[in-house]
Amino acid sequence: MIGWIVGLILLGIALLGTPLFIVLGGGALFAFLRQGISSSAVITEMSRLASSSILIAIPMFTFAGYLFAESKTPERLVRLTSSMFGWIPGSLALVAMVACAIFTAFTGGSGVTIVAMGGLLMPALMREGFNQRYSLGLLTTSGSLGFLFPPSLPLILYSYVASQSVSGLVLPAGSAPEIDRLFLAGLIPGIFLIAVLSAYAMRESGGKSKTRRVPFREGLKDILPSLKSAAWEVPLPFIILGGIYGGKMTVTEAATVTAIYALIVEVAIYRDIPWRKVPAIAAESMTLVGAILMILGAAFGLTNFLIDAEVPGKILDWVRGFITNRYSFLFALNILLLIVGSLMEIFSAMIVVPLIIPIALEYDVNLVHLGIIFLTNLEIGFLTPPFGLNLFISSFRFGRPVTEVYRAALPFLLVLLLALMVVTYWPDMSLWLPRIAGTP
Amino acid sequence: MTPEPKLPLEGLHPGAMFLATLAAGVAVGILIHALLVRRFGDDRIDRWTRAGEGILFSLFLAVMLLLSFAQVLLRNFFNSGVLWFDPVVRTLVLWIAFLGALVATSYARHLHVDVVRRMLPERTRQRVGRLLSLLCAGVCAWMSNGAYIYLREEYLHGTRPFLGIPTWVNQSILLWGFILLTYRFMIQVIWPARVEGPA
Repeated sequence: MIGWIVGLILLGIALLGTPLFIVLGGGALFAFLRQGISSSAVITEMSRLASSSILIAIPMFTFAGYLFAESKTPERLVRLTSSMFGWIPGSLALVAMVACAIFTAFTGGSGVTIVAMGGLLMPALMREGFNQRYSLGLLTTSGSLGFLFPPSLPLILYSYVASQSVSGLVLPAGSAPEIDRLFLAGLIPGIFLIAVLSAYAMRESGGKSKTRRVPFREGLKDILPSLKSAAWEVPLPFIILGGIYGGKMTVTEAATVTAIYALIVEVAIYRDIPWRKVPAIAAESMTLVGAILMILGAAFGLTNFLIDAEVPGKILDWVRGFITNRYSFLFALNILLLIVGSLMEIFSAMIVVPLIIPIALEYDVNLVHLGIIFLTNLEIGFLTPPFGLNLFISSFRFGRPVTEVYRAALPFLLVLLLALMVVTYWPDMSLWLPRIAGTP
Repeated sequence: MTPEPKLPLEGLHPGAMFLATLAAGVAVGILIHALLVRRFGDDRIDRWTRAGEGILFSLFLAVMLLLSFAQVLLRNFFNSGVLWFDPVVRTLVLWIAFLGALVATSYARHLHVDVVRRMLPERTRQRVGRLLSLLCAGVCAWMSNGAYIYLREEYLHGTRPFLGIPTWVNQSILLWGFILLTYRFMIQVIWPARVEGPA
């Protein structure tokens, strides 16, 4: 009873705008107190922030992301994409989405895409005659489109957390959630999401676009110069992927290389950023990292309590009562993850992975497919009112009230929900590529 | 067998005693802050703080980047590595987390939900904001107490995971971090942040 009351109070203060790490941490402190466990237990869990190598990738990718954001990379990326797609009517919407997806993948999905690309794309979209609400919705949606493409940090974290929780179990062939397999599995669903959204966007913008489209030939002519101007940025994904797939680098090392590479390219080669601005960028990016890691640390504390209290087992027992087959499980999973995605940002959302995996195994769901469902769902959850993270970032970035962003993102949300159904109920869409690539 | 080590602040017990000391410390801190603001003005204090943050973050990041990049080179080209690089970098992640959290506090940039608050009228919003900051300060004070207990335990264990630095030193940011967070949130109670959200 007291637990419920405290839970409600916590929800209330969360709604009123208390920092989420205080809500999670306070919840954990209280839960431990009731069990008569010292408050140092929460701190012990927080100290785990210093125990995992994979977490080093978070500051690295975020720093690189802010460097790209502060430089002229977004311009070069948009120029390159529009030289390729400019001949399609209403193509700026497509260009915006593709450029955002690439940028998200570049920066490991650390949440800077809207901040970085928004300032450039918003005025461009408005100039092309897209109305403000529509542009707002589009950019809010694009903020997490790259989650499924390598070297997305969320995909890496999923693989890490999932592998931990199945270690020692014998999995069916092709089901082990290894990162190289997940990277391959995410490609087709990721492209599919962009295709569906672009089809919708272009239909919407059909007659409205004011400016003439770039003729095919003219666009073609610009491909080479725009490639040349982005000559230092284009190789980065190949270096990272080549390094990881070639077995030369771990993911953390790839993150380090990305950060160093970004620093050298943007500051020393392109000189987009003067040296004296670097400390400010470091401070700016590390503030975000601090906010993310504090939530992760506090969430460790709370998860630890939940596992101590055997919550996963209880959920499984409860779920067995009304979920009878795989399809009803997948449906319930979709709903649950949408809620999770709308409540948390991606790194805290990882705390539900160990809770879901035992159930997914029970219903014979491939864990690689589960990872793709998980991330697609979170991507949509971030757009789900009232708490979806993208909605808030977008509201900050564009200085619009969050309620306006809700309305703007809603149509995109509905389109994505349809796409989610396909990704969820058609496992081969995700699993076909890793299978033919023959990853054992 | 080494004799049982003596704690540095043996007399300062966790719990009420620690919390009272913390409260006194925070009060003194606020007083000094008020005097400094009065002497030098808000803007200059702000500028100094920002510069200091920039320097500290850059320092941490630079060490992280150098060590991990050196490790990549060593591993790939010389097939070797330095044992203490990795734990130092991992520890820096923890320090960066707290430093970032402190900065996020002073500019009200923690990840939070602000739907309901936006709907409140201006004056109520400010009152609610102050009340919540007070609550945050309370939670952080409680956390500091937990950190104090944790560090005392680590001190008694006496583990030295790398470079001969004991765990209670390299993880002491858990204590300083929460103490400073308590102080920062109290500052927010008295002088609420002027900027909200990413600049």
